[in-house]
Amino acid sequence: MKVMPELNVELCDGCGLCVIACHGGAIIQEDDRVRIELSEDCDFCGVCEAVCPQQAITCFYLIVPA
Amino acid sequence: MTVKIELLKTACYFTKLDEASLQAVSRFIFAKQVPVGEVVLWEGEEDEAIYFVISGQLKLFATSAEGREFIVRIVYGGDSINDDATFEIEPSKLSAMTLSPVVLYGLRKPDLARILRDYPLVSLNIAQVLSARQRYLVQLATELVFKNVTGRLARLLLEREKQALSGAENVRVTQQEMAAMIGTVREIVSRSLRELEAMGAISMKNNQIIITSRERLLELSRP
Repeated sequence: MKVMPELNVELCDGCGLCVIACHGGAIIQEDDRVRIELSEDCDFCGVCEAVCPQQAITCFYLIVPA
Repeated sequence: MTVKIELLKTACYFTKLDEASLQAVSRFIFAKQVPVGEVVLWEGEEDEAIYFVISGQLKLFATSAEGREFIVRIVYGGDSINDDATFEIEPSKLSAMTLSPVVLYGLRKPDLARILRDYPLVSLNIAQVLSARQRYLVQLATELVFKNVTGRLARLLLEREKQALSGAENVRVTQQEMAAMIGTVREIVSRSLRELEAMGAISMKNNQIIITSRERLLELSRP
């Protein structure tokens, strides 16, 4: 199952920096809020997490043994 | 929240204590439940208790004047925090934040002194714990000086894989955390992950970092 970055809506102030930074088109601006939607183009690059000034986005990686 | 003997004996200071000793020690222990994302200890602030992580995990970290974080280690079940402040008169040099919901068992400094007097085995356990920790810090310092980022990342991935194989919950980590654990920045971690993938050591699939060649990672992480 495709996993997407996690958004903490309580921390998000809707600034939209993540929307600009996301090259997968997975983050949508809706008025003063953003929403992450399922996108096959999201490659979990972590840039949305890096640009978020509120630390509202987290991209968790799972370490999987072979 | 009550203190359970079967959980208390998982705490690194109290392993190998017999049932009666554990019962006696448990009178001095207090339990604490902490939600995810909470700071349990602040660098430079006084807290006269030592804490044993009974379940969940925390990060122990130092922060630079510019706000950069360096994660010294991830603390799992059984391990202790705030030992330095408990044995010395200075406050802790590190902060601790929960990475998952955590159960802590606490022990205040004067009570620890009482336990050490009555149960010499605890002193031996502490010596072993602190010596293992010193060994770890020497390894970390050596690595920071002698290894490149890819080698440090390889060692980190092997360590986290070991945790996953031992059945630890929530073996998940962000690029930011990986950077803070190996003394670099997120962009370099991202590049190093791609390097490791190109070398055939790992494979990246969505949010999974799959270890495809442990041998290659071992080779890269060797001093």
